[in-house]
Amino acid sequence: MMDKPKVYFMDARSESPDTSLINKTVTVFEAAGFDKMINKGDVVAIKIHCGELGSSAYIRPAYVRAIADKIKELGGRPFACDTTTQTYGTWGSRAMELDLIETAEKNGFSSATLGCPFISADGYVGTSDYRIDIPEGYLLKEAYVAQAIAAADKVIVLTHFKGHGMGVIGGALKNMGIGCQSKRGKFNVHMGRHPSYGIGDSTVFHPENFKGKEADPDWELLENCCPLGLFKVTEKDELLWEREKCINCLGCGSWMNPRGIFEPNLANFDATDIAIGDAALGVVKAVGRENIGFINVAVDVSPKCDCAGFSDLPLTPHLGVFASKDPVAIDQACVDAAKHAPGMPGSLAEEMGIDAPGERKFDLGGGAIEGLSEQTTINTAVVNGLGSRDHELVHAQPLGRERFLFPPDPRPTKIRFEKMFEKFQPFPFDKHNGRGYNRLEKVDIEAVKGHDGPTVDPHSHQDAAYHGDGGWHPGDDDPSYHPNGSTHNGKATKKDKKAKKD
Amino acid sequence: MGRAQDLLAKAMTNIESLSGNSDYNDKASSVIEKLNAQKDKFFFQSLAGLPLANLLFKASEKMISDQNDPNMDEIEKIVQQIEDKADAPGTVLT
Repeated sequence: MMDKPKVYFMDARSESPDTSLINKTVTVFEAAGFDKMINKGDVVAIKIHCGELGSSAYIRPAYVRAIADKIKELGGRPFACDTTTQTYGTWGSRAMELDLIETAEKNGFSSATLGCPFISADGYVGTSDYRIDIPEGYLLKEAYVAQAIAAADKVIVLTHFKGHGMGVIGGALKNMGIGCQSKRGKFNVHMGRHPSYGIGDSTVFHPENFKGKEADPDWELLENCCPLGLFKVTEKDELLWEREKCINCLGCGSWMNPRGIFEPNLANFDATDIAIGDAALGVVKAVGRENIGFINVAVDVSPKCDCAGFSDLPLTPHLGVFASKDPVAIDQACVDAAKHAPGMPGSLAEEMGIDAPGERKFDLGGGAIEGLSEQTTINTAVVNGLGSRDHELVHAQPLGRERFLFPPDPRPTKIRFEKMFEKFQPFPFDKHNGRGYNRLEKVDIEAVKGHDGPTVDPHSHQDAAYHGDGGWHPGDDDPSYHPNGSTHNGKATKKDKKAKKD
Repeated sequence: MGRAQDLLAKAMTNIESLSGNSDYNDKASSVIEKLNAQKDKFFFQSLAGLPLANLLFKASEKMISDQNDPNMDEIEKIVQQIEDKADAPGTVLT
């Protein structure tokens, strides 16, 4: 009997440099043996999701930087990457390489921040890819893997774990099954032109719900949301759709759905979730199982994916960091951790009534439509042989703070700064009898600690002065105060009023 | 019937029962009319409308047990939010 795959885990608590979440990510990287996987000279792809413009829960660049640094330390040559998306969303901010790079930079991913290049793994349009057969697939029989990922010697799939409207969960499997597919591959996974599950074939279409040009000022968008121009509004205000030609780019849904022109399409969503599990297998086959490792950073567990242009309050508190050689096991471990966690107060988890520990968090909290399952992709990846739900959760131990000293200059403070301070002394020893700065000798500390506000009057001591942009300036409280010999501004102050009253 | 539509229907039943209270009869009728216009939309067929359906159901339960102006105001406020969100593009994300 084969051993259960191990998932290395560290929780989200942090009370020292070596238990910072970023350093924990490096710790689980080593615990999972990824350091032994990378050889000198290896080109290593770090697959991330750089976030749609406007989202804020995507993985912070500092995590990517830490992994890139680690790979360089091991002698590897890292690059970070994401892929172009389908055209979905009408104004998608990652739909071609130019969009992707601009958005990545706006979201903080560049060679300056990562210490390695950030590239579009599937080229300018999204057609740079590697086709691979997957006869083991439950639904898909081939996948189109982004070229830069298929070409890399090693791949680290570094995933921000969260929910997803279509995929229900956004974990390692989805980072491969969608994220590592070229644009061409994404049409495959989303069931473009599939005879049973494609949008064109399975969606219930209600053109009668189009109210006509006059009543619908955005009617032109119904035509312009499709890159193939499959929607037409006739002179008679009829909405026509050449549905047999639909490639499932998802550009139309956000316009058709709210108008009731499309009904929710469970078959398409379910089939896509299955296809994600198969396409993930394609990536592992293209790269080689021994050449790929998975890290899930389960913090900011937002309900919807980083592909949305916003990030809602997380469904749960931070769950921690996970690493494994098995993408199925690592996603299952994250789903289990979310299930056992309490829901975040005030979040969608509370609104959906799934906030109690033990409640599934993603069927309702992640999925966009009723009836989806957070297990569909995971189960598919069990069926196609990609991995195992059953796993051993191993608590990785901190590596010690010495491992995480400031890498560019790990010397202790005296050695770093003594000579520099002799030349450029930042402390003004020559001022105020060696005390350096103009400060009161004593103040009533307790007076400003009250939770109901201070117990001293504003500016009640003579040397206090706010020189900012507010409405109070030196002298406002003291009619006798004449700065630089000028006259007082004459404004009645609280003190003036009090004196008058007395 | 989906989960959101189910909850919405329960909320509407609660609100309809206010018709016996002359103080809130008109407002309840107006709210029901507005909800009738929304209940079959994709917003409630999908999960996107579930949080607001849930909130409306809870508010309607509160109103049933304690019929007063603030509780009726809360119902009207949620119905306004439903009208604002139900037709918004991109409500349901993939």
